[in-house]
Amino acid sequence: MKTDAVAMMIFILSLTWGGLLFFLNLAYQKERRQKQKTRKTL
Amino acid sequence: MEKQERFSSRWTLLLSTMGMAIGAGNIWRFPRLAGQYGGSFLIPWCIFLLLWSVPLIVIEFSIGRKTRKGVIGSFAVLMGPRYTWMGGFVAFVTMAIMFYYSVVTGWALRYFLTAVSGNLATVDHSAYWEQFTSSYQPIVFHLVALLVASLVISRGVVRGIERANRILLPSLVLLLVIGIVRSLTLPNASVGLNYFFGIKLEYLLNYQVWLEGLSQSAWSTGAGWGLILTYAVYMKENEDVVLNSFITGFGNNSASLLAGLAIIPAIFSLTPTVAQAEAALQAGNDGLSFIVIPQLFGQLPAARLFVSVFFLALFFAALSSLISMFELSTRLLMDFGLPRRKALPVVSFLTAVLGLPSALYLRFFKNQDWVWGLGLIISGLFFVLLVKHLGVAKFRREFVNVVKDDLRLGKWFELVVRYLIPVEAVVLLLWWLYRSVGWSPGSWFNPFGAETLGTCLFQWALIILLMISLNRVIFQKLNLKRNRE
Repeated sequence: MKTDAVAMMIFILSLTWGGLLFFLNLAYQKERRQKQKTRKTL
Repeated sequence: MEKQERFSSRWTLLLSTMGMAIGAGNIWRFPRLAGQYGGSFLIPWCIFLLLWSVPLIVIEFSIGRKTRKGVIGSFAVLMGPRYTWMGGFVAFVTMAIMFYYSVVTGWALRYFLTAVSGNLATVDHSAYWEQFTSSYQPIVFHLVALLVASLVISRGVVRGIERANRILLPSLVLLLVIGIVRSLTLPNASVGLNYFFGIKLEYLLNYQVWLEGLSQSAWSTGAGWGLILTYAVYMKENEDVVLNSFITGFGNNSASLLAGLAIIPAIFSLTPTVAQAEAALQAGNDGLSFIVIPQLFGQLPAARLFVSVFFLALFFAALSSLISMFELSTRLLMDFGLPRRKALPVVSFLTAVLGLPSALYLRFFKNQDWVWGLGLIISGLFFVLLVKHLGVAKFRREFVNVVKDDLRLGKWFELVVRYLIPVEAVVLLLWWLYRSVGWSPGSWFNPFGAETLGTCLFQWALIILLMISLNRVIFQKLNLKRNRE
């Protein structure tokens, strides 16, 4: 594979898949915090 | 008053919105464009995710959560009775797409069944496609597709939409991963990867490639169609709108890249020359999926398996989007006071009848795809006008950034909604209409042409005038105080 294509592949895949994983992780952390809060109030 | 259903968790809501966004466009349109223009196309496609799709997804999520009404009801509540027709237009555009989308879902199902039986390996694919689309078979499979979607919707949000998407979306990802493993292990797969990710300066500086990137982002994410608004009607009050919007947008683009990795290297590997691969990518959406791919994948060892995987993925992607279109239409009727069990047969009957011309005549299908696909840009524009009517800053404050601890939406949203999206919409509309003049220079004004400027203007004007003339009746019939489930 050509170097520029490899660089672009790494950039696009990490931006898109990395972005998705980043936001999914944010959502997961938030859900966990909310569950812990609910348990404490119970 | 009956209690309105809610998605049981954030994850099932996200599976459903991603199922809606990831459709046939990710599998049959994205690889075609990405293979042609490569990395030069991927850059604008990523940029417009943030400058068109995500802001519109945020708008739809926020409106649905606030009003708890379908598209028409939301426009009536937020813009006032005089503008109910705008919601009517947005709803009509998505419903018009649903009528022919059911046909596409049926095609994918038919091809999957033929591929599984092994018969697809022995036919001349062009002739088979011609024969199939000019026969009565597409009607049967159009009806089967809509029956499956109706069955899902009849079971409601939790037992229907949620459950279906819990199966469809993970299965789709698994099928695409199988495709990627096969595609990347073929000889010369790297040639395809070079095309997929390589940047050509002449393309990067070409405004048409940028407009293709914007078009793909607008059509593929489902932003501005009213579908996310419809699902947001059932989201919990304290759901994080901004975070959900980013996940939906990035999830859609991630699936497109999976489809690209499964298809583009295989096309370049299986065609004898690069020129032939480029020609294959220019075969059009249906040509690429139903003629070129079965032909090329048919050369693989275990061809039956891989062709079946491709068509099952296409069917799952199309079905999950079709389900959301059915829900949009059912929700509309529920806003007029009909319970779900009575609204659904009406929607199914309408889809069955109004999808028939597209099932019978490929020319009619192409006409509808052209007119209402472009109509979606107007729908997106109407959502922006709604937000402008309310005040963009007020919308950000009172509709989006309302739940403490949520991801906050920054001021960039106001700039994008106020200036960028309207400019993008107008430029996109003018560019596509201008292009269409070149497709049929002698008859571009023909209102009955398949893909002419005239047919677009004629059909849009007809529906807008119809909606404006029925504006008062529609508003009066809306059941704005009651929510029936």
